[in-house]
Amino acid sequence: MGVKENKALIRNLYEIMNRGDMETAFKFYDPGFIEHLTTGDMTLEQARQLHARTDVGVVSVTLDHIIAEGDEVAVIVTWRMIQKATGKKHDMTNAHIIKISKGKLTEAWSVIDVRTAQLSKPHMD
Amino acid sequence: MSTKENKALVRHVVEFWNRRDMDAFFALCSPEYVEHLPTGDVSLAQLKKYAHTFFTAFPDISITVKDMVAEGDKVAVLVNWKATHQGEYMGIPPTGKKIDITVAMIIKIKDGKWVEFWNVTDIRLTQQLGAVPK
Repeated sequence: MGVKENKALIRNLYEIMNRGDMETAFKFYDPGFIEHLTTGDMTLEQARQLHARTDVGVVSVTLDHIIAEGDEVAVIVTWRMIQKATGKKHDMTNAHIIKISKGKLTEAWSVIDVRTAQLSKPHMD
Repeated sequence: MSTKENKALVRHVVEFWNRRDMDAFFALCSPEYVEHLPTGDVSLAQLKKYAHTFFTAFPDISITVKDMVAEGDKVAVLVNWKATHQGEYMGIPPTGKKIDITVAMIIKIKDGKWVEFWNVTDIRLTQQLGAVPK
């Protein structure tokens, strides 16, 4: 796949996430996908568990920037989140460099917004 | 400029930051340069005033490029910051703590000058400083 196709894939992924259809979104990922968070690596299965257990809901997902070169796509994405317990809304803007192979996301390096500390901590264990 | 040249320009700026040669960096910023930070936009004039505060907060900061993705007039960069927190930063008084974080940046370049900048700062900053920036 070329740079144009990789960008189209990522745009499609975030449109699906914005609709809240995470089950379809997870199909974009290779089963061996690893996200290299600055706090440690997370597998696709761990990402699924995190999504299922989080006490924070997603209101909207906005793709702010997308830049592609070779097999990598860099994005900045703003998530509008709501704390389910309090109804309080927060924005978090995350950055990712995503590696794509044969139409699937295989690896990502991510920076999670320092403002996320205002939200409740996600359950990673 | 090509994406290769734009990436080289970003590496030069990181070298300037590591040498604390902010005048060399500012010379590569266009007069209309804007940093779009989560806390609001910062103009070049504001940045020139703020830079001293930043390097007072982290006088020993060392910045290393981890990855770059470039397309058209933009370069996305992941950099590592290693520093000791020795001055007030975003409302947090000096803690003397070591930080080791990743910062993501996107830079828009026009005619060899930085014109716009967006960044995402690592959540580990709060964990390592033990406080939430304001």
